[in-house]
Amino acid sequence: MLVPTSFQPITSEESVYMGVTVMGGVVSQFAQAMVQMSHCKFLGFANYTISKPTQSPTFSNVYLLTNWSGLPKGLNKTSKYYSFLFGSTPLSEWIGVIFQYVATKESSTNSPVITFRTKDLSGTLLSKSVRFTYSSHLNMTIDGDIDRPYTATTGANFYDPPSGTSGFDTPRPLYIPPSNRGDMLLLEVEVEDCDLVSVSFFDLYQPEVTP
Amino acid sequence: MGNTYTTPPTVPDTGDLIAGKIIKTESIERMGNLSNYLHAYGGTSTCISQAFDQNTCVTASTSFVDLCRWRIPIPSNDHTTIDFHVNAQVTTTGTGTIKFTLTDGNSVAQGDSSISITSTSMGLATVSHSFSSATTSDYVDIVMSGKVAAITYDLDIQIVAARFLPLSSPLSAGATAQGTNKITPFGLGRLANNYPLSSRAGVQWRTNIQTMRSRKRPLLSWSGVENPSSAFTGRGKGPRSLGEGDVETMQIQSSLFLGGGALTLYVYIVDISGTKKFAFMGRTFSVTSDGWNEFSFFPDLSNVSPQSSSFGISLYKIQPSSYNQSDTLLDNLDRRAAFFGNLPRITALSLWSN
Repeated sequence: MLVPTSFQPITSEESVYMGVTVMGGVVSQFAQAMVQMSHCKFLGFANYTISKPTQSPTFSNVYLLTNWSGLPKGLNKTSKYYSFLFGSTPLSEWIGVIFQYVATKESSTNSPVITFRTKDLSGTLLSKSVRFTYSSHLNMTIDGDIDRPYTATTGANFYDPPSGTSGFDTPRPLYIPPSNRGDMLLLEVEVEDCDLVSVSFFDLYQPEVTP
Repeated sequence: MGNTYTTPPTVPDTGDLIAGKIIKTESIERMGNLSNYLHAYGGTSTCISQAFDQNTCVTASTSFVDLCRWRIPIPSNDHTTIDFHVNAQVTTTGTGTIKFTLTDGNSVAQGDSSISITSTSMGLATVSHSFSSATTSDYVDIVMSGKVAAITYDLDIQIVAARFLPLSSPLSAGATAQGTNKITPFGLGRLANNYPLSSRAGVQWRTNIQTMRSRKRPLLSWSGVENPSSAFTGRGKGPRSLGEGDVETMQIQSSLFLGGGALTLYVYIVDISGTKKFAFMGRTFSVTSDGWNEFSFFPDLSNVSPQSSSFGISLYKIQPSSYNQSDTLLDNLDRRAAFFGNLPRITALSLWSN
C-alpha cells in the first residue's frame, strides 16, 4: 500500500455509529491514517547541533559566550570523533543523513574526510562504514576567511544491505541490521581536516509498503 | 491475545478495504495491532539530542550546578520511563556526576537520576529514569546539572541524548490517555473470526487516530551551557545563549506534514526587561517574561529545503531567523548579552510538531 505523507481528513464519527452500514472506504481511511503515522510521522530521527567555543575574532583571549557569527575554521589535522545517539524504531532500516561542516584550505595537504559508522551501544560495528571525501563529496573554502558551512547528504538511493563490516562505501544511507532495529544506536562520526557543525539523522521514508 | 502488537507492526492491505469487498478478519486484526504499536512506539525516538565540542560543556564545581535545560513532550500518560545517554569523561582520575532532574508541566517533581563518570577518555554512560508519580502533563522540563569530586579536574560532556522507552506488549487493559485525550488499546481477540465489527471498534480507531496525530515530535531541543566552569584556562567557553551565528549554523532539517497544524515553540528567557523579540522560521515573536515562553505558529510549508529532493519527502530547516533590531533577543558581537550576563537572552529552545 502507498504510505501517505500528509494528515488526510478522517471520516466523521457518525460514519461508524450503530446502524450505519460499514463502508470499506471508511475502514481504509483509518488504515491509511495509521500507516501514515507508523511509516512516516513516527519514524526515528535525531537532530544534533554542536556547540563550539566562542572565541572573539578580535581578541584572542576573549570568549563571547554566544555563537556570534559563522564558525571557527575547520582545520583539524587529527581525527576528531563524535558519538551521536539515534533512537531507532522497529521499522528503521536505512538512515538518511544531512550534515553541515566547515573546511578551509590553508595548506596544500588539507584533504577533508568524514566517516560515518553505525554501532550498537557496546561499540560493535554493525555495518560497513560510509565515507565522504574531498573533492568527490566534500567542499573546501579556499580563501581562508571565516568559514560558512557546507551541506552534504547521504542521499536516499536504496542499496542492497552491505555485506560485512570492513572497508568503506561511498556515500549512501546508513544501514541497520534487523537484529538492532528499535535499539538506541551509536552513530560515530570521524572528521579529519574539517569540522562538523550540525547533523540530522532520520529514517528514510519509503513511499510504499507491502502488507 | 490481549492488547498485543508485533514489531515491526503488521500493515493492513487496503486493497481489502474497499466498497464491495468482504472485509477480512486479517485486515481488521492488523489494524488493531497497528493501533497498539502506534501507542507503544509513537514518539519514542530521540527527544534530546545535543552535542558539544570537547572542553565546552564542562564543570569543575564540587557542588551541583545547572548546565543545560530542555522541555520535551511526553508521548502519553503511560510513557513514564526515559533513558538518558551521555558521552562524557573526567579530565584526570576522579569522579564526575551528571544529574537529570525532571519536573512535569503540572509543576510536579518527577524525581532525578544520576550518572557517575570515572573514565578519563570519552565513553558512553546511561541511566534509566522512571517518573516518581503518574502524570497527565504533556511535557516535562529536564535540567542537567553536574559536579566533580575535586576542583582540580573537569567533568566534560560531549553528547547528551534521551528517549522515552516504548511500552511493552501486551499493553495494559482499558482506556488510557495522552494528556487528557483518550486512547484505547485493542484486544485483538475481539477483532478475530466470528466477532462483530462493532461500532465501538470504529469509534475507538477514530479517537485513537485523532489522539496520536496530536502526539508531539520534538524537532529541536537546544540548550546553552548555563554555568560552565573549568580547572583549565580557556575551557568552558561554549555558547550560553542563542546568537546571531546560529541563524546560519543551526540548520537541522526535519519533515513536516500537510494538515499537521501549528508548530509549538518554547524559548527560555533570562533577564528580560520590557518587550524583546526574536524570529524563528521566518516568524517574529515578542517576549515579556523570564522563564519558558510558549508560542504557536503555522510553518510555511512551501519553504522546503533544497535537500528534500534527495529524500523524496518535504524537509524543512528548523532554525532561528535573523532579527537585527535593537530589541532583539539574539546575542551578537556588539550586544554580548551572555558575556556581560545582564541583558535579555534566549538560553534554551524547543520546537515540536504534530
